[in-house]
Amino acid sequence: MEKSFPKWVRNYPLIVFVLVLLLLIEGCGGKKEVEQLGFIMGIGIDSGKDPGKYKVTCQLALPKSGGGNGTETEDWTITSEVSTISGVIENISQVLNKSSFAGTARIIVLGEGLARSDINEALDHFQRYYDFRRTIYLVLARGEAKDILETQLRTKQLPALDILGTIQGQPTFSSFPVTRLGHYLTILGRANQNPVIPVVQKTKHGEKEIEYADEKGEELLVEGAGVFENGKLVDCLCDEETKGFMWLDNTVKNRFINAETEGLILSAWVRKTSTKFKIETNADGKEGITFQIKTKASIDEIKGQQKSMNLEEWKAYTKSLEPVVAQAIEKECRAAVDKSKAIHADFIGIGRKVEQKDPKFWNQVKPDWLNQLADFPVSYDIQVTLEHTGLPLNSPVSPQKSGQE
Amino acid sequence: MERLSTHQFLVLSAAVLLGTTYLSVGSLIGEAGRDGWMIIFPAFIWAVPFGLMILSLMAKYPGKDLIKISERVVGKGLSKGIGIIYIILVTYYGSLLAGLEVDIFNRTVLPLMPRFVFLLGGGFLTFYLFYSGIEVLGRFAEVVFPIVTVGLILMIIFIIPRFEEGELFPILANGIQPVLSSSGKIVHFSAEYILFLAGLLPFLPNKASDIKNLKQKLYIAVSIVIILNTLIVLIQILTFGPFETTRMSFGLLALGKMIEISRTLSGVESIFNLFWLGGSTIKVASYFFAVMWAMKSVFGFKSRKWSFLLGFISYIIIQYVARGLEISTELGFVGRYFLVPFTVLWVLMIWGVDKWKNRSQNG
Repeated sequence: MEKSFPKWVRNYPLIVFVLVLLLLIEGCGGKKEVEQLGFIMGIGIDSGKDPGKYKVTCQLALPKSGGGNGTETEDWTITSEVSTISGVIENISQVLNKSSFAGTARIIVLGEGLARSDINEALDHFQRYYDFRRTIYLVLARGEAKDILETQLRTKQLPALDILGTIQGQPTFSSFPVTRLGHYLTILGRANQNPVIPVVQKTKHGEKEIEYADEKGEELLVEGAGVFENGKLVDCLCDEETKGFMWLDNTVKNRFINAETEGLILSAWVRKTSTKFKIETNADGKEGITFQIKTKASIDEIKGQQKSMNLEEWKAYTKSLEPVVAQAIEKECRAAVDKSKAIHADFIGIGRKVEQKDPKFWNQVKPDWLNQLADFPVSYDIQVTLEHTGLPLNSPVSPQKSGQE
Repeated sequence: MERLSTHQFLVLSAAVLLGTTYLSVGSLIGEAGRDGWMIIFPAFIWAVPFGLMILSLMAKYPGKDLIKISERVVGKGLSKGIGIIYIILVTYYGSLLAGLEVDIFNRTVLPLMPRFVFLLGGGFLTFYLFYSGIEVLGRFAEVVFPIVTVGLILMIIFIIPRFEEGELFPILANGIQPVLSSSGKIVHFSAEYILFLAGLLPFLPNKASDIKNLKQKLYIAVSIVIILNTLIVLIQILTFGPFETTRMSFGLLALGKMIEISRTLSGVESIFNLFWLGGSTIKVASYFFAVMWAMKSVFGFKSRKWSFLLGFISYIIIQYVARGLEISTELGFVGRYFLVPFTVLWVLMIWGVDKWKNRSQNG
């Protein structure tokens, strides 16, 4: 042993132990009960009235004390014009008799006006301050973020939690991309790739082909995506372009896709899909990219098929529908690529894909990539396997009509 | 005289070499970019030849640390000078490492906790380990190091869902030069361990069979650290991309905050931080031991008051010399420009002169 402990330590170990425990009392100081906290669930950021200022909307869930149900909360939303995002926390502390807690924030809503100027500076606080996680979701508001977070939903739910639920349900439907703060920052760090953020907007009865009884009630709809260049919103993708982007970005998990051919409309349920790519030289000697999409789907709905078929005929018929679904996928992909070329923004990351597979070629085209992108050959190799067509074979028509009597 | 078992040597070596390097190594990949995971191997592997040189001297000079061996090989005057430089460097560097741990907690889970509370707690633990002896530090490492390792492995597993696609490719697109260049910036991590090993020699078993065993354990310890650190850099690149990995001061802490298990379990970063604190304590305590051994070898200081003086000097350095980002830059500067040249020159000189003397005597 190097040195033994002093005699008093050896003789009175209990006293020493108690003295050490005293150090831990610090942990009890300043403790806060859950009722004393206000949990920030969502933060909306808009451009302020004054230049260089933000209008920050904080949506807090306040736990109700003494309620029958321990999980009951009430909505407490406040908007404040501040020079820095963190300034809103100070403002909240001056009007709320609870301590705000930012660690629960799950959604950042970015106002359209702010997005057209610069969102990167507004996001600085969230990637710097330790309470926030890089897993926090980003959404772009159609209009003001404040309006989105102040939406009076028919369910009376907090708008931030409603958006969170919609986003978290996405793997089942893959109808819009999911962008977390960390993912946005990673894409930002890539040369010549543009990040995308899904768009959230208010809808009312009768809008967007949605109707409901409470005509004054509002809903939040997430559809499409905004494309960003150096923190500025360049353009927005429509629903088809967004879905095409997701095929090419390999972020489709499951989804429904409609396909049409010769008076026939069918709905395929994509159960499994993967997108790969290869860089190859085409017949003109130009390097191009080929997206290889392999999809397994089932047919969920058929409209316009009235002919009655036996098992063998149905099998052949199902096989004949596979190219129809493949064409529908290709149509969405083309829409995304065309948009990318039109707006000179590589949100699909074609340049990054070229860099992965052919770094020498990438180094040649990198300096002028966005101009090169417009003429860059893109092709598709889409293989769809229809695994089944649901429970029955033929559509529900009478035997007289189908001639099968 | 206390003696570590060869297993304790293995665990203590791995724990000291690993230290808290996994916290900052991601931000140091620099120009290596997406090949940053390759910088670990060349930076850490040189601990093996230098460790072997030191262990080979042990057989000839049993019970002596490298300062005492230097006295026998190059004379008293030069060895005293080496010893004094050793004491200054290791005291300063070890204190900065302790300061780094305080900084990590201040930046993350405990931003309002006064620094002196960390220092009081850490200081108490370090003094406890020192007065209990190197064997207890070895046993402490045997308990804590597996926990740190399991923590790192759990983090690697849980962060897989956050991987970004294709961040690792293309491999070596810019050649090997950027990898070697970035690797050169973290070679001091190995020097940190070599300096500790220099003082540890008298506490190692020194039979011929033991020395052979120790050499094997050295290989294993270095391999464990290389594998762990490579994986840590790899998952950071896969999760953040190379640009973001470099931009973050402590990428591993951000990774901890990104862990979510089935949307129900999150906020586990505080638990991970406790693991990292354990790893840091071993490193800081090992430096405390190293300086005290060196003071004994150079000046013959043995009494308890010198340990208190060392504690006081460390406290002053942590509190007043460097804070925040300064600590990281200072650690890099001292490590690269002082620790590495000193270690390389010292070990090579002693090993080389000893070999030369042997040959002269035999020839």
